[in-house]
Amino acid sequence: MAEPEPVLATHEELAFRLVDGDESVVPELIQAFSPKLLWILRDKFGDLLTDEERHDAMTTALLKAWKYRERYDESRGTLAGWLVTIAFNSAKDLLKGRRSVDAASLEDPGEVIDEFDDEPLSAERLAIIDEVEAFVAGLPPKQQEIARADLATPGGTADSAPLAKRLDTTQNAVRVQRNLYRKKFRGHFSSRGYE
Amino acid sequence: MSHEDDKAWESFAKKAESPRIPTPKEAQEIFDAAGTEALTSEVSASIAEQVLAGKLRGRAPRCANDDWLKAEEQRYLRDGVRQLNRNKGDEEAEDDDVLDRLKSEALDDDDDETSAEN
Repeated sequence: MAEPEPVLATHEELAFRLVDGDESVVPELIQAFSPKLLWILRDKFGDLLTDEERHDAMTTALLKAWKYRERYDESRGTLAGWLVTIAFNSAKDLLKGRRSVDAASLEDPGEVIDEFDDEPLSAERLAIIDEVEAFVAGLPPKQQEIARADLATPGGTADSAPLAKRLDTTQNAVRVQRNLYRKKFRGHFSSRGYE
Repeated sequence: MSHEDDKAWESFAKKAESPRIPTPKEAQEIFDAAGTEALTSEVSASIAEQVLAGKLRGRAPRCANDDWLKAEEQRYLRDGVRQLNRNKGDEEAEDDDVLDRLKSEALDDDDDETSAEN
């Protein structure tokens, strides 16, 4: 006789046990969410993160969710959505240069844990996004790579060291190329009436 | 780099951040549509251990071109000290060579920038 399939806990049950501080939920959270979080980080961040960094971002997200579990509020979103959002933030911390091994990044729960912003984007902002994306798409390849990494990073400037490694160049060359695209950017946007 | 260029970029980059942090609704949609990447049981166990310990397993911070940086930093420090310690009237041919090389490299940097722009 075939063995019965194990009954998997629903996300709501996992959320309840997480908030309750039940340590036995951790392996189940990893089983339920990690494979998708890793896939999402690859899909959304592509080459901007190495495999090692994606694993770090995913692990950091779960670690923060466990550490700051009392802040989860189901009325503001699902557990899956909360974890995806924290994983995005962890990935962006890495791009900014705050290494995951830095204990300070774990002490800082990040805005996302408290702020679930569900405001739709304004038409003006959508137009700016289109303009910036069109500008970046027209840059030479290396400048384009640097600009894309910068755009993914809060504050607009990605850590030059991993970028240099990925582009097989020096940090100084990254800075030079960054200066060039920003000079072009300012000229381009001024000419289009933006200030 | 012009500070104004940076300011212009940063003000727009904030509005056009990509990928941006999803809203709760978008995050749920992203999760629902996602594929999966399998984890081995060893990796899963390691993650559980780190989560419950409250800290990530230490990994030496990465630095691109680490060896290059060390060699370059050492050379610049050595040359900088040589230049600082150079007393008027005590010029040596070796110091002059270093200064000439530094000037030449600085000019080359300008050339690189010009050629990269073109």
